Amino acid sequence: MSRILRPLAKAHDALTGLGAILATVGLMSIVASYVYEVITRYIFNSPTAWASDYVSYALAASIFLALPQVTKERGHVAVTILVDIIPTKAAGIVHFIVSIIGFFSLSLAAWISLQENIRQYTRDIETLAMVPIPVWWVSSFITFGLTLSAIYMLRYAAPSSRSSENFLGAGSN
Amino acid sequence: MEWYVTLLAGIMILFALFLSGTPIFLAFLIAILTGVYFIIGPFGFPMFANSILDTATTTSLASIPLFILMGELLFRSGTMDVLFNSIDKLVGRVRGRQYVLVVVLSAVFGALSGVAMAVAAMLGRAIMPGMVTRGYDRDIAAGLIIAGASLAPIIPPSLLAIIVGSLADVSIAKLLIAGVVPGLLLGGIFLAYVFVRIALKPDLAPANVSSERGEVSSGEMVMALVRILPFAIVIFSVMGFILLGIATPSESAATGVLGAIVTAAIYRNLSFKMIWQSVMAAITVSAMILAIMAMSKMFTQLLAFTGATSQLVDLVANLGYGPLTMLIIMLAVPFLLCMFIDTIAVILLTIPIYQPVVTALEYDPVWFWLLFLINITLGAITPPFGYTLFAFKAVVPDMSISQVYRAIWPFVILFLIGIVVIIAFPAIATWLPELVG
Repeated sequence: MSRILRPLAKAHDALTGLGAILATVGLMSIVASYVYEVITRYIFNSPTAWASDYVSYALAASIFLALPQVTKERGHVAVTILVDIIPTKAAGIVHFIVSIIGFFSLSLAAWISLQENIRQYTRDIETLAMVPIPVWWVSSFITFGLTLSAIYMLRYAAPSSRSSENFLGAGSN
Repeated sequence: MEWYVTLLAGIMILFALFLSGTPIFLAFLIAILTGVYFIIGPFGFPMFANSILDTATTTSLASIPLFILMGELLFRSGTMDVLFNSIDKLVGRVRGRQYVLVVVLSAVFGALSGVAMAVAAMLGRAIMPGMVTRGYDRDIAAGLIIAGASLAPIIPPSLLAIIVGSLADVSIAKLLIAGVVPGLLLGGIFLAYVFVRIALKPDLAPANVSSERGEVSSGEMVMALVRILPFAIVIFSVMGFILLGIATPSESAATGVLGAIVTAAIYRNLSFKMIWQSVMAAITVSAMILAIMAMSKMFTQLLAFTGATSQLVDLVANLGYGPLTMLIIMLAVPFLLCMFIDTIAVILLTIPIYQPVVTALEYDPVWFWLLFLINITLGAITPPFGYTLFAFKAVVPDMSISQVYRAIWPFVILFLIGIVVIIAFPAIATWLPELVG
């Protein structure tokens, strides 16, 4: 890998790791919010106005903050029955094609999501909720997750990144 | 273009992508971007972005990472070992007691984890070698472990039930509760089958029962029971809270997580490191599942947009088949699909098509979707490509895949018998949800 690409790859990995840590904190906060909601509603008869909305925002953020980590670890579910039995060379070609298509598809999805983020920001669109917030605060995590995952697909297309193991998926359900 | 051409083309593209090893979330993404472009045009892309956001912010789906986290906490804290040892002591000295142990452990682990593959792998690793050494029939042991593990998606809490409930727009709480009696019924059918086999051919289980389990005093039995009690905290904080109306299924998943933490603390196996690793594992697994769901939401909208949904309902309504024939056809399709492709992919592919048909045919939604759930679970243990079979095979390397296939067939038939019983007596599935209201 060239001198320019290596630091970029490190920065990409670091950002992915940070996303995974934030996603973990996000899931912990979902547990705390729901438990707090049950206690305040059932014991103190005083339900919160924010818990349900917060959980929906935190869920979306956590999923897409963790998505690049799943892609990095090749943890996505894939049906690898046929790929596993074809010759290694042919499997390598299939993996290359799939990862390139994956890169372009995820990039297109990220671009579409970014356009929506910009539209939501410029038009001041808020969530339909008890506690409304600007929609782009939540939807921008989708763009983050798709963009970083797209870059992993591109990195996996490089011959040096191909392994004889399952290339893109975990091959299970 | 005719609606059925579009529908078939979409399904064919998805199948080709699945079989090429493309990750499922990516396969849906590619198919949907292509579909939106050709059916709606580029103006449809914002709809796609919003469909991802809609799914990702669906509160009921929060129960998926929470139930996974609950299972992770229980497994990583080693509290499952306590459960295993205690149940081993409690199962009496009957001939074939390890078979009984497998069914009981499957039901309990299934209730605590909700994932068939995890339970199959765990029991395959923990129990299978000992059973073979002690002289138990290898085929029955393997078949029973795989079939027993498949009770996990049926006995609540079940991830698949939550996914099916949220996609089919049926009460998740009712669908979860509906799995209790059918799950126990299937466990009972498995045990009855094993005892009949032993009665007909006694050498299928070792004759010397006392060599398997030493004398257990009544004091030890009481202690084993006491050591199991903390698990009641987990079960109560999930199912108890739902049944008593204290919490929604998603909230009860969070209280279940708290219950798992308390249980781990009671067994003195609680640490911050263990919690952090559990949460990290849970969120990555959940991101993988929820990304698939988020990507595939637009599939439903595309079906509606092309008119495929309404045309399909018209077609089915005019087929002239009775409700029972239609039911068999509708159950056969996902069953066959699950033999070849991933369970979640089958769910996401078939539910948008089935949902209006189920309404048109006036089936009880809880009953139908529970049958659907059991059916796709069965598909995952049916040769040649049932995924639970592969999870089991991975931890039992001395069994060939053809031996695993041979072992599972009797249990596939038992599952089918169970499904027929639930079709004949719908109250098995609907009684408990109706009781709860």
